[in-house]
Amino acid sequence: MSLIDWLVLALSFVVIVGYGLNRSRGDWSVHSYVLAGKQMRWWVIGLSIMATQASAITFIGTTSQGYSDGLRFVQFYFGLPIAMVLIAAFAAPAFHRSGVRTAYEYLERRFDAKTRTLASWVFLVQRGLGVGLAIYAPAVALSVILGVPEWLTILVTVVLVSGYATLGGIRAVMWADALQMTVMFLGIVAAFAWAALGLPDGVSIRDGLDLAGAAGKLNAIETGFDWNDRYTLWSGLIGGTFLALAYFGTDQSQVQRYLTAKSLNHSKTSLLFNAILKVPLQFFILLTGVIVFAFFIFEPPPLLFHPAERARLEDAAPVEIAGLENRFGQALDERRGAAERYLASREASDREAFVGAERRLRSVRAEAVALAEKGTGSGAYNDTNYIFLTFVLGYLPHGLIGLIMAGVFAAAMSSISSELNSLATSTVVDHVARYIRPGIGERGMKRALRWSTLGWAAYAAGFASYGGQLGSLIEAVNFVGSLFYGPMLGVFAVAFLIRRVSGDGAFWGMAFGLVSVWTTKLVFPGLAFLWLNPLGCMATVVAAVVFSGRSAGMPLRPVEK
Amino acid sequence: MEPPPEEHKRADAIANGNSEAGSHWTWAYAGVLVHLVLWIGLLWLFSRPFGSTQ
Repeated sequence: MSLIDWLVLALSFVVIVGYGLNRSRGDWSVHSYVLAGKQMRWWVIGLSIMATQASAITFIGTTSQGYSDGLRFVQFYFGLPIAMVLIAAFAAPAFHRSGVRTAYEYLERRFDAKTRTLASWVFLVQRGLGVGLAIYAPAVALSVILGVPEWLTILVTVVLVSGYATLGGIRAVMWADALQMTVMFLGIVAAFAWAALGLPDGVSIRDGLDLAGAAGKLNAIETGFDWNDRYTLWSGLIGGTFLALAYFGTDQSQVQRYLTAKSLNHSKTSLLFNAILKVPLQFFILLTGVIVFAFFIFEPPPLLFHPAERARLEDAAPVEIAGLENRFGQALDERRGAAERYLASREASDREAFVGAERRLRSVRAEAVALAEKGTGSGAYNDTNYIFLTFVLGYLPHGLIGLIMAGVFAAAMSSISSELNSLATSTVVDHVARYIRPGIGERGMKRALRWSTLGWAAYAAGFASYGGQLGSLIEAVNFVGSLFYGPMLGVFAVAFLIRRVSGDGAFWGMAFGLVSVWTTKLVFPGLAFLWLNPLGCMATVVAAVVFSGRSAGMPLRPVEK
Repeated sequence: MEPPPEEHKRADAIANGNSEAGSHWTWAYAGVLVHLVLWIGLLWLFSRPFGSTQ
């Protein structure tokens, strides 16, 4: 990165933070801090929902996934529009009319305090882990690529985010989100355009796509059914719907966004805005990765994209790596030649020759990956998060590099700020004001919200700083966290849809759902995790109805604050 | 002539944000689902000419 890139990055920080804080000036009430005074318009909410979901790993990892695995990941998002319609039709009206500040507060109004507290704890554990990972994962990649210490990347991100999230509350977070989403989008468009323009003279985008298709990168729709494959049309439509229902319909970091709407219509429109744009947007991000793949047919990519691991291998196994580099170079030349012959002739035999050359190239890389895996302590090597950044830093002009780095940081900050704000809201509203200090006044609550935001930021920074040492523990805890989604969705589904379910029924139904999911995962370890959400949801719903016995159901009642 | 009371109720409900009363939301939901089907079809058509091999 040159001076101009650092300046563009710094300018983006100043503008985003300043804009968010400026937009949050004026009303300093708790109502404003938590719900933006219920004055938000649909397009700000819609962009904020999108920006909260899009983390830095989405930005750098999804483009890289397009490069290595093609378009098939887009199917993962097919359930999202269906989920958004269901949430707009059932969840948004229920939340909006009940006047709650957290999704879990609704559960107390509908059921009882223990169900609310259980759901809120599940959220705090799951999202608390999520916010640590949202800082840690991009910090590792950015530090390696930018050549700065990990702690510095973590510190800059946390200080900036906690600054505007603590001072300005959700209003600052959401306006900053809207701007951050715009920066992210501009970054992706710039990368796509540059990769397309970087194709050699005489090679069009269509030619690039043709080569990518021959290499199996344009497999957007896979109609085959496989329980263990998460990227098929069916797992996307069914599993993806349940996952999106759970995330957008029960997770406070998303629910809080559409609770800020100035009317129910604005709330619903913001959800449908996402329903319409998400699939095209993900397709475009993946397509950018595919175009980068086409670009690297004519420009030699590195054997391994992780620069630190590559350097380590050059020291540890110089002979082996030199041999592999040599064979990789020959395979690249062969693939490029085959691509040029195919584009000139368009003969099926030349296409087959290109496909064969691509396979040989992959097998050399697979040998290098196996060598790298031997040297890492965990026995795993993954350079997915480095592919897109290698392209950006190696081939884009200065200034544009700064813009894309600003997009990566914007993606990180938009997720982290929303998560900190929602964690603080749930901590204070569902626990402090409910149990610890029930008579807390407006001033006390505001102070508690600010301290809670700072506390969660400090925790997240600590988690991210020690992330490298936690290793497989992170994966284990993340996996356990993913098992909560189905039962959480189940308890909200019975709250919205089945009147006769009682508080005890909901609580024990959720407990049963959690046990069902964990047992299933133990018995069928290979089952794609997407399927656990429908299972957990349905187990919870059925058990909640059974455990409710002959209950006549309960109407919504005022919550004790 | 005064509109019938049912229409009054519907108009009030829509104005107050109680949008289930407005059939336009049903159309909006249907539109979103049609949009999804069209995108799946479009992506399928997009993949076809490039003949994936894997």
